[in-house]
Amino acid sequence: MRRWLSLEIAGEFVLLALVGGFFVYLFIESLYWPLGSALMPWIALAIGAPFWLWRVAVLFFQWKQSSGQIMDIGFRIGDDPEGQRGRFIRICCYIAGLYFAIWLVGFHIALPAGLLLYVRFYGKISWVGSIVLALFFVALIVGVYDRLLNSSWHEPPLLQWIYSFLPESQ
Amino acid sequence: MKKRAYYLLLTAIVGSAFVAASALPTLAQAPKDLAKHFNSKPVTVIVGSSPGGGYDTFARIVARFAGKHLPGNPKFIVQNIPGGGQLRGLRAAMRSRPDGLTIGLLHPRFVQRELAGIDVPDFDLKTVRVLGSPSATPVPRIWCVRRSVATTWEDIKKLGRPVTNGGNAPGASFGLGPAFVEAVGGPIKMVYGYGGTSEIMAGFDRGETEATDRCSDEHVPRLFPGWIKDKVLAPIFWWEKEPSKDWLGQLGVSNLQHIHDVVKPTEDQKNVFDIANRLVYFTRIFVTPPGVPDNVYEAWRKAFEQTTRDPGFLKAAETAGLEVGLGTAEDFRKSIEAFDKLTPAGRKLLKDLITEG
Amino acid sequence: MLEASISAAERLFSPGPLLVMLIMLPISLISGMMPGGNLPIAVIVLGFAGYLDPWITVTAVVFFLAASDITEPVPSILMGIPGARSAQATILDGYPMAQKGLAGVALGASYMCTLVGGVIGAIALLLALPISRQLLKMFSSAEFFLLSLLGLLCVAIVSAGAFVKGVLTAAFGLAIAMIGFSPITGLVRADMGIEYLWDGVPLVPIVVGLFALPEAIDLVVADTPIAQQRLDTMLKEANRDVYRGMREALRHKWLLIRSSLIGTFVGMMPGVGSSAAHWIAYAQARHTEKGALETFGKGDVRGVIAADSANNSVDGGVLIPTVVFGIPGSGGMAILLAILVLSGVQPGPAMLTRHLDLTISLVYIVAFANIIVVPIMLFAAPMITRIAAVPPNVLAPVVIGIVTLAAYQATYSMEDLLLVLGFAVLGIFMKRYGWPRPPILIAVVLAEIVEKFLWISVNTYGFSMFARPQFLAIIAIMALVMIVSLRLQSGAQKALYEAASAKP
Repeated sequence: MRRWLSLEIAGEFVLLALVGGFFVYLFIESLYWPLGSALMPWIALAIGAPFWLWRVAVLFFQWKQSSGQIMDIGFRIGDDPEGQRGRFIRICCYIAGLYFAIWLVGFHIALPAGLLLYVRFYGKISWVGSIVLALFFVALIVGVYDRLLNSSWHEPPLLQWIYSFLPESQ
Repeated sequence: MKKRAYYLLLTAIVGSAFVAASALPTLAQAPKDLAKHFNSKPVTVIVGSSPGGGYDTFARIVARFAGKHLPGNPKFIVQNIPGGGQLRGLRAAMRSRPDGLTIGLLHPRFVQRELAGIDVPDFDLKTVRVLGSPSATPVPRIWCVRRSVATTWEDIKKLGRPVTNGGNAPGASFGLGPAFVEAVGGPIKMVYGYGGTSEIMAGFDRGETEATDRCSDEHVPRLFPGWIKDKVLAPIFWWEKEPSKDWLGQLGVSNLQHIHDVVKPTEDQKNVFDIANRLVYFTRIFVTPPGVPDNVYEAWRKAFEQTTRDPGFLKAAETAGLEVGLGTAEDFRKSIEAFDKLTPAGRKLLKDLITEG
Repeated sequence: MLEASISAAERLFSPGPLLVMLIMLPISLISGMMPGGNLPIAVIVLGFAGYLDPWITVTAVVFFLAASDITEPVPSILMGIPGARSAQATILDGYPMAQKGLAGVALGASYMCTLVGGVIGAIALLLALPISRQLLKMFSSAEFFLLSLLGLLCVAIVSAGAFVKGVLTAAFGLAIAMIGFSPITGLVRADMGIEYLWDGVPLVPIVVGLFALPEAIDLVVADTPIAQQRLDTMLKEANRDVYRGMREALRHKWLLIRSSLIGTFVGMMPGVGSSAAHWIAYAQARHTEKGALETFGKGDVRGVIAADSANNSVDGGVLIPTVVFGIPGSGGMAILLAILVLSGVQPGPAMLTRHLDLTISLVYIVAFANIIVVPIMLFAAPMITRIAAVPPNVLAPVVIGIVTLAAYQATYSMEDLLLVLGFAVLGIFMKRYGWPRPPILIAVVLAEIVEKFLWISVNTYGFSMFARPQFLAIIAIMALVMIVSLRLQSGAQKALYEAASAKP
């Protein structure tokens, strides 16, 4: 297997494809815009495109890269790849599940409940501690966002479905 | 492991049942008793822009005084739902329960879009119930050029190039005069992108632009009094409302011509300009969603008109430096109808002038 | 002026305003630590404008904004989550310090810089007020364009070592910022048919997706608290660490003062201010401080000093265009402007004559906020430091919950959360493959300003902008920075190369 097919390189190609894809989309769209709107996108593309090509070439031909980077030097990788993969999948599933639950039943239920379950079972906090944390979130949502800020919440489909069975009272 | 799953399920069920029960909506009352109806929960005014702008400020002032004039004297909440150039707020207001307890603010751009044949989702000019506009009053608008560049329209034409005029974005109310001149091929070039009146005037002040449409006694004495003292401005034309003799005197002229007399457009173009002008100054239109019961709507419309005459409201608007003048639902209807009488060429010019892009 | 100063002090230090400051104090401390947290509270104060005396509402909002800025570096240092417009450069060195167990030192340095920077900003504001109109008239859209460009350039320079990736991501950020309504032509650009994108991509979901979620994931994956070294010492010697940080800040007094002055000056440029200043200050420190090229970004306290002193001295600067010209430099300033207008105080020259006392009181409030809040935060710092020791499986879900709520406040719709998820995926990829993330953020923030001022200057000045001495002066400074940085970089590369080849 050629090295540039390895995960290390292929992953970055995904990133490059994403960025390049958006550049192309922006360029095609910009052809229909008057100069006032198209000028800045063209400047962005003119800056980005050469560096994009350069990066692709570096990866493709596996040129030596300079070191000394100071930002974003990757995740903290330890010596337990199996466990790390497991934890990575777990936390990502938690976030995805949490957001799905927020959509389904709304912030008021999903956020405290999700937090409660996570810190109880993975954070190894006692039931009391977990409930206190969850209540803190209830207080935050109701006290700050509902009462103080008058946030408008989206209408969760599950609750609406339940409400549709309730009689309309006066 | 089994025990854990059991706990998980139990917590989820108990938790959701508890919260669902506590979150049951208080349902709207039947509007037989209007006082009771309006008092059932706070009235929400949905603003489609972030806090701090003209729309938000007006909404807050209306919210402060409208309660006094509605049956039951309800409390008010101003809710900002920014997004989509005020479209999200409008849609939220239009989709809200038609009980008169939620009202919204309509930006004229959506009226213009509908007129231009572009569908605005959730919004229909025919079904929306307009309460009126608190700021539909003609104000004197004057276009001035820097005295060192030119002093008359003839001078400007002799320059052989257009003079630059700073603007916010196409379709804005102040720029209508110069934008019209540009659209009919006159020697003005609009430079859009400035953040608002203050930025436009600061741009003129540091010599960046050569002309300005912010030349009225509403702005100059407050922000740049030096322009009068140093005789920077040469007024060229006015539109919308004739400026006062006193202000013209301060600008160094005894009288000023209307835009039509200076630019000399065709009859059709004149018509277009007048309609565009009416549409453009009919801003901050307060609306209720379609389907609001007639008695609730009528109560609201009356309350809205009274609010705009409330001395407290007038004073608050004056302190905030806002021009107040009631545009009624009827006035609004009339401006829309005038559009139907235009020629196709006129419609195209109007679209260029008032819609964006 | 003297009379107004005394009258301002009398009115400000009366029971009403003092009480308001007392009420706003805890609110500002907490909300400053939440991403995107400070605007909603300022909006609440706006709700009182017109009912209450402007001395109360203006005090409330300015005190709140100044005080919450002070706590903004806390999540940057402890969790690597930047503020939407400020405290971004702080993460470059603050977060690595926290990982080394030096959170206390970083916080101590940060607060000391905040205090000094804030006071310098306030004094500069006071000195600049009488000449502010003339001063600002010297600069035009052409120079504002250059300065905002300089902000962008600094990020690219700072990402040295990953220069290609840095510029590429900055360009990507610019491209993202092109989505949505373009005021110049009134067109909605590249919305991909999604109505949500008409107003462009909101900032807080970007911060949350790009930084907060990947950092939370990193915590769980690594399965250790943020501080991986000297965990016990860190907790035991928290107080000593904080004082060490303060001393460090004072030891680098010239850096501190220089960065503060940069912050104030850039802050005065309308619109450019708060987002670019701390980057410019960080970049200048990185290229002027001894050995900084090797140590910055790895937990050098001087990086924190430069970023945070500029971060806070900006507050004094941005007030000038706001009150004198009515041009708000940030979201918070827009709200201050609205409060002034609703209270019947029209921004403009009258702020320097009729309302001079109110204007001067702004200076007092900014200075006073720093003087009160910093000691409180110093006192609390040892406690706050403990965040770095919280087990990852407790800290991560709490952070995720809070930032999710914050992101949802952008437009109150589920699309906000989808956007967060999208940027989280991007953020994870970028972090994994070593693509610097801050350039995207700064590009998104500055793109609008760069575009606007570019268009205006091209259309009003054309080529004659190159004949403006102010314009040329800024270009000369930029060129100088570039040359110096390239020389230093090649020197550093050489040293690195030699060090590498010297190894067996």
